[in-house]
Amino acid sequence: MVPLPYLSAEEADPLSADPFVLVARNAIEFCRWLAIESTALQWIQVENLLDEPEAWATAARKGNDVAIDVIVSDPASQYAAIYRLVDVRNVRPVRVTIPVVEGFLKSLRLAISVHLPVRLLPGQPGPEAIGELEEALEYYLHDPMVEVPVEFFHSMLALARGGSGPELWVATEQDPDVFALPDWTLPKDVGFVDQHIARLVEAGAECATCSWKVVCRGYFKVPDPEYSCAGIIPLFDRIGRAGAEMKKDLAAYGSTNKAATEGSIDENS
Amino acid sequence: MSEEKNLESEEKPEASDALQRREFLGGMGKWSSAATIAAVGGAAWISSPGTAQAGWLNRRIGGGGWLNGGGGGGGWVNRRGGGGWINRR
Repeated sequence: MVPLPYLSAEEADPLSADPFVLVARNAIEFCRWLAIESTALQWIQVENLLDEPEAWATAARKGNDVAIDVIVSDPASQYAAIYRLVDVRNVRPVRVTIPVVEGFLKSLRLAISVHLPVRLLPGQPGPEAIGELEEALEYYLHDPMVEVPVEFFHSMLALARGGSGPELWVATEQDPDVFALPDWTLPKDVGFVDQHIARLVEAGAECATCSWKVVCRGYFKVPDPEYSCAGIIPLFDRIGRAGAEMKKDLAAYGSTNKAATEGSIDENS
Repeated sequence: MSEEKNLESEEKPEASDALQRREFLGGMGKWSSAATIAAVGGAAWISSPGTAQAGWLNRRIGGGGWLNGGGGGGGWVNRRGGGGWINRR
């Protein structure tokens, strides 16, 4: 099965029967595709347009309901522009994608406060960004204001709780077997992730003994295979503990529910 | 009874149980709403395969799982079909 292609405005065909994601890189392309009805179009990925209010005014008008994934390319400085998406969110699904770089937390908090789902792209974060990731995780886990999913936390928590869900490469929509990303610079071999983690383990990378290998699959070893996961592993451990705690809490719910049901049966008999 | 109605009647108790478990976790006062959804599942953000496109995504990423609510993780968009976060807002 072929990966989902990300096509430029020049490449995309509105009449195509094959699913695709449209990558809009300027306001003209974006507004033109907002007006096109195409059943093959899965969503529009919007890049470098946060600073163009006219584009968002157009997107906030009713029309077709195509979803939009907005890339916040400079989250430390562009956070205020996320407000422009509030009216858009009222007429179509909107998500923001935020690279994990120093200062990203401002954009994350603002997106959550206006109820926009978030996809974090962790890459290979430095110490400052890891500190913000830790803070972001606690916010996601515990703040009553957080009602929207924050990937990759969301899928990792679902897995840690014992549920099903995508592993990290898919949750971040970066598995080349699933998503044919336009800026993918690594080999496009089928089974890239399988080969990648196998190579790392064979080379004796820290993945070989990492308890998160099954869900991470060497994600943090790209592009630099020497990247140290010293700051990342505690983050995943925290997700693991939260998942275990939620599992325990749900077991308590099971006991409470069972007792209530039995009480109800006793009353009725 | 149509196949669609059969599916509805099968899904309702499960959805109700998921909602109750979410409310239980939420009532503990220590988890965010988003985290309770991730933990309980049954409410992913990309929803049901109501179209060929969503069907493609489900097949590719693991049908019955995170895209249409089995896992609690994952997708974000409810493409021309009912069910996910977008529809519940």
